[in-house]
Amino acid sequence: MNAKSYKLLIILASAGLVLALVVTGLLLTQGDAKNEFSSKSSAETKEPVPNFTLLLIDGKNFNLSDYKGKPILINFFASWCLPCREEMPALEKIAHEYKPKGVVFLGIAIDDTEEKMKNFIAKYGVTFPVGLDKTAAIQKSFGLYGIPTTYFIDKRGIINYFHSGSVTEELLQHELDKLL
Amino acid sequence: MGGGAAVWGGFSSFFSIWQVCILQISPFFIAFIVGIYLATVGKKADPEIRRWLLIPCITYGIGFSVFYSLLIASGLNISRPLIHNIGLLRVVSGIIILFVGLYILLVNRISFLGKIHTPLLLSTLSLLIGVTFALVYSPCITPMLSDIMGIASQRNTAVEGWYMAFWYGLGVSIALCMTSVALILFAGRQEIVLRNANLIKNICGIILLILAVMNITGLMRHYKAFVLGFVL
Repeated sequence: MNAKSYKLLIILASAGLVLALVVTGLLLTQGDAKNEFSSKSSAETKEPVPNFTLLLIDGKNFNLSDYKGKPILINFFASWCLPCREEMPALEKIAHEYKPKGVVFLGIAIDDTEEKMKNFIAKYGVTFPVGLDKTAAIQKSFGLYGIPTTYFIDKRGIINYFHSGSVTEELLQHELDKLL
Repeated sequence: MGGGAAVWGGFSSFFSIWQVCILQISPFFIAFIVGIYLATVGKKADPEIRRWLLIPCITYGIGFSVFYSLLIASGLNISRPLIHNIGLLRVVSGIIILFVGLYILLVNRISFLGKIHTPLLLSTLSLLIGVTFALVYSPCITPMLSDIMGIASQRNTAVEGWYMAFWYGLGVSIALCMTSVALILFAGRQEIVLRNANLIKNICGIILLILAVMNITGLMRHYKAFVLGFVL
């Protein structure tokens, strides 16, 4: 087989693979996937939240143990992360609604720089406490791989639920109401 | 959701807005595959070169998908120690990438490296690059990945979630490899590329060295914040 026919073979094989993937994808996503997605997009867990202290952008320290007895929402994000940008308006809106009810909100930026994080906070008008996990120590203690991820912690300090991916207002309301 | 849907989810994410997040690894993989191609071109029989690229692409896909899915499947016992030691693993990954970058830089200068420059070695290096890229990657969670992670985080469904995460990672890898091979098929025969093959190969090696240093020193977050933030 010469170089030209080998090249053609690779192009044809690649095109065939793309086509097969497109067809497979279309067939499968039209099937049972649609129904399963909505029910399994988050996880219930009953582990105690790891304690930590975070330096906030206003210079104060956020010590998690100081908030024992209150429901807490912790959102991990990064300024460069697309779904984090999508969910931030919903988080901010729900924070306004639930802070008067006693829920504590905290944003933790990971894999980010202070400057970019501050720009992000200013751009989206975030009013709840935010800090940068510079050493990734908090990230590791939560066992976090992808972003965004949101943790819902009950009054006893137990992680009641967490959601990997962008959150919606409905999801936030549903989970926070369970903590109150 | 089945394996086919997960492959498609990963594959299609590569060619969508989610590519911004995959930019954490995609330019570096292209540098790697172009680097090993240019280290081989002109020295080995031409039809073999394609095989030298395709097998490394497959081993890359396997290495990346296995570790990516293990990190995603937080409900598995093996996942926790990996995530808890992710900082150390990223440093180790940086050291491995450093050696691969040096190999690409020096393969034509040191005769010993030229002798061991075989498809087997390249496939092994690709496997290692796949593993290290899964470790240095911080995925943005797409809607489909969110569903997979939800399943993979529960102990009773963790294996099912791991299986889907594997196929999702393979979908991303297939798209990345296809793009890289297409780039080589398109540009690899151009006169200007062949004339400057050694220079381009060295640049590819240096790009990998930069990635290595960023991971060893913890500067990778600056790359993510500035480059990815700039694109968005």
